[in-house]
Amino acid sequence: MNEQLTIAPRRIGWFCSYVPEEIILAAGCEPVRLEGRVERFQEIDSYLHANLCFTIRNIFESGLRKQYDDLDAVIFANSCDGMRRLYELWSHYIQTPAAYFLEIPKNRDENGISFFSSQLLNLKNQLEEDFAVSITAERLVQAGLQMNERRGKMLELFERQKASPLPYKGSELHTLAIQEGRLPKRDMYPEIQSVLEKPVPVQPVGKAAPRLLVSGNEGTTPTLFRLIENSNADVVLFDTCRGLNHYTGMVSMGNDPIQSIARRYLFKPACARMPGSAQRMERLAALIDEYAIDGVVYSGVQFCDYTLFESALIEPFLKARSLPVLVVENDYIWSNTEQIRTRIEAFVEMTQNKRRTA
Amino acid sequence: MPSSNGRYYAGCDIGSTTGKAVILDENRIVASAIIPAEIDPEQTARKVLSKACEKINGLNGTNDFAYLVGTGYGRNEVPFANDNVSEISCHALGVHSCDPSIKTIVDIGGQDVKGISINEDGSILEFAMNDKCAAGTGRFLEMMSKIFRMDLEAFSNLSLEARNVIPVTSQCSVFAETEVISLLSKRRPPSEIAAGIQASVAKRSYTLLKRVGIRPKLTVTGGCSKNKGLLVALQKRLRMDIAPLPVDPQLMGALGAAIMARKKAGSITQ
Repeated sequence: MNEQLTIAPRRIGWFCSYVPEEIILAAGCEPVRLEGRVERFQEIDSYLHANLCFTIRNIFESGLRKQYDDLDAVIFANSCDGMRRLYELWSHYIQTPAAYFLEIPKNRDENGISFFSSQLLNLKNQLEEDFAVSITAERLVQAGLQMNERRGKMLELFERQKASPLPYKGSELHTLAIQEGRLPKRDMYPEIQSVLEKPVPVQPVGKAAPRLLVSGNEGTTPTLFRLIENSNADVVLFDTCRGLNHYTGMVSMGNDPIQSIARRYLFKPACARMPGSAQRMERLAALIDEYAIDGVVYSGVQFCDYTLFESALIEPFLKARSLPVLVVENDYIWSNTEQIRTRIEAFVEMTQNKRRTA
Repeated sequence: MPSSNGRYYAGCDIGSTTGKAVILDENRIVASAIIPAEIDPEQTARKVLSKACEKINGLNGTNDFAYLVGTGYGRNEVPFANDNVSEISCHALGVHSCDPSIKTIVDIGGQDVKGISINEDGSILEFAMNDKCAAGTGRFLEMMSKIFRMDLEAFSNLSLEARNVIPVTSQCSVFAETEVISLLSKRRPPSEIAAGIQASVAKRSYTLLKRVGIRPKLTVTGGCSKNKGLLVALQKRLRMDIAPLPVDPQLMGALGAAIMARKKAGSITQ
């Protein structure tokens, strides 16, 4: 093993909100969210057909362009088929020193937990072997506490968004969440703390802007959020796997830390990769009430089967509740900004008008 | 014609292919203009506004408007604009002011197709818009007319002579071009191929309209509203008459913007 690696904490990439960062922390490593850092596609078309998921395309091109060469390992998951394929491609083309593949069940019951626990145990054993560490129960408990603390702080920020006027810009919270996944945990701690301690405005700012919720998958750039904010509306909340859904649910440590972690991840608010559209919509309806939402922007990354299939259920569900909803597709880097802008502006005008007449 | 109180309100709609301007006084449309788009949207805006101004005595230039609203994809580039509003709201308001009984609009422009459902008050109830690609828009029809070596007007009438419709199935403009060329090389009747092209554009509009709900009366706006073959294909596809408008349907975005300008100016002075 390389000498430098024994000094700095080793960095392990993880991909998908269902991969427990606790295991990485308990191995004494630094978790880094793998989310694609390419701002303009250059070479991916030479490798992958244009109708494959743009998140996968972006992450793969980031790898090809050596933007993840500082990682010591990557944990992939079978959250969707694209992620499974990415594992194969990554192992062939990028060759990070170690790549792991985590099975995630779809059933959210005791069988699911016992299966997921066995998978997490495998992962733990592999990490122990490859990194010559001992991931003890105590270290797992510590990692759980550390993650819970961070979750708690992020959730407090989201909780404050129930207020009007809005304490934080949606784009600001989104950027914070992206950094939280990307940067070392101990560097992020003061960052989150400083946002929490930032004075909350007491005076209403200008006319009340429509309060929008962003759902689906929004990517890592703040483009959508800025488009909405520049069209005189607020993004109050984003219940995506980079937002509220990622932080909701604490690990409740029992006798078996691995099983406790498995339970937390399987039972957190599910994304569209899990069965149960009806429960997801009920949850969305509850959030709309709690956060006094005027409209929903449902965004799907191009060719994401899960999100885009579900939009055909969510759109009529919200319309039946007389809630304006806008479905937009994005290519993860939001290159078609101008067309999206027209839609967002018209949507905000429509929502404003509805508020006035309500 | 001078305005009763000398106040003029303008709407300027900068589209991908044409620039449109409408000038109102307190009561009615006093001038309008349509020009082909320049490369620079700001240039288009200046040109079309000054062309409309020329028609009014006593109005020297764009500085003299009581209020100016920009719309269309170049709305942020309209010089001197007091405000800008999306073309979707503007088309809704423009059409509503012409005929309040119209509930549904299909706006087919140079690079966009939009289905719009209107509220009782002329605001948007629901809308849908094509994605990235320009299939089923004016740009597509322009490309097709070139294959037939015709100008757009002659091409728009070609399908009216057809006895049958030869389906053109490709969704993508580039593939559709290949498909049409191979049909022509098989010496199939050009009018019937043209009818197939118009039917494919009509189908795309129909798919969008279904998302917003199709309620009579329905009208067509945007540059493609002048394409007779397309209107026939749309009526057939929708099984519904297309309501005529008393004002050039291509001006609906600019008209909506001008009405918005008059409203906004009113709320300032009050």
